[in-house]
Amino acid sequence: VVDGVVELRVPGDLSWRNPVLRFVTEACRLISRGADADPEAQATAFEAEAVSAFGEAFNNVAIHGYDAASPGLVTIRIEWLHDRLVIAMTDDGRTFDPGSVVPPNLDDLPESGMGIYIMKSFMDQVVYQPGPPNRLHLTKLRSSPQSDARRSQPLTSSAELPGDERPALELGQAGGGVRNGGNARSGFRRRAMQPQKQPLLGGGATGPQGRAGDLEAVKPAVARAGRK
Amino acid sequence: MTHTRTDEGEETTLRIEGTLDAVTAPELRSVVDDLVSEQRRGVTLDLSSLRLIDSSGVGLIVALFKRVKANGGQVRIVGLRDQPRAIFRLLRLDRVFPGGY
Repeated sequence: VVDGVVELRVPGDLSWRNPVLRFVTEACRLISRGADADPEAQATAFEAEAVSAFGEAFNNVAIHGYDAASPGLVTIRIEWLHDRLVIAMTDDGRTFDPGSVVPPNLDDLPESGMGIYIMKSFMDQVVYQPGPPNRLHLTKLRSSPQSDARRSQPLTSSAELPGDERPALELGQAGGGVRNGGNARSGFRRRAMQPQKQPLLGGGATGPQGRAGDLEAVKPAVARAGRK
Repeated sequence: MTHTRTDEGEETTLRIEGTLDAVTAPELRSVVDDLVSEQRRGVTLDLSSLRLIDSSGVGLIVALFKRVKANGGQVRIVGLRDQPRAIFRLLRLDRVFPGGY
């Protein structure tokens, strides 16, 4: 296992979901198994859970955070340390209120409102810091056992993001309701933040339909990182 | 995502391949509407080639289950594996679709 960091920036639009998930999947595989990883190998439970959680996070930004007609950018940073995977997402969309989200009642067979539950269940720590920019950190420990006990308990570790003094919230933490009006199911507020105009890394990325070249077009930076 | 519908008498098999998520689930909604409006009594979802699903895709399958059941029919799942299986187990849908595992 090597330590590594991969980062890319894409529009926060659902048309980018597939290429971004492929990117996250391959990054997990590359970093965890090494450069000679078999691209046809079956996904491990770790990969499946991390990709599931990230996919829900990206959905939330694309569907609730940004307006589909004029999506802003999402920066995704994947960091693999010796004992954990950390996926950090930064966006300038609507602010999210973790305290307003009601856990789904699975006995009722819900048809929506399961995204946060999936994130919390499959990751060991989910920390959200309202912005702008909004920051979401998803952390998954390599050796973490997937147990029903963990899934049913609130997350308990540090609620501060590194390098920033503003308060952060862990999803699932008790808190007030939706402020400024908003969606009680999703927890996103109606008031939109003005998206910042930033260029794509590498520029020239025009086709988000999942072709192999799209991932190369955004030129993700790959670098070795020391252990912290 | 691609899908194939096969009818045999009152039974329908719907095979879904690829990814069923917030992007592709809307494409399949008309198929679900057709199955419900035609009051198909037995619907089998073949998910053996489903690679990835998210909460939107799950929501569509749950909606299909509820609506077919309301018509007196039944929805079964076969071939569930990998990431979709992890999602179904997490959401305790194995209670509803016991044959999928």
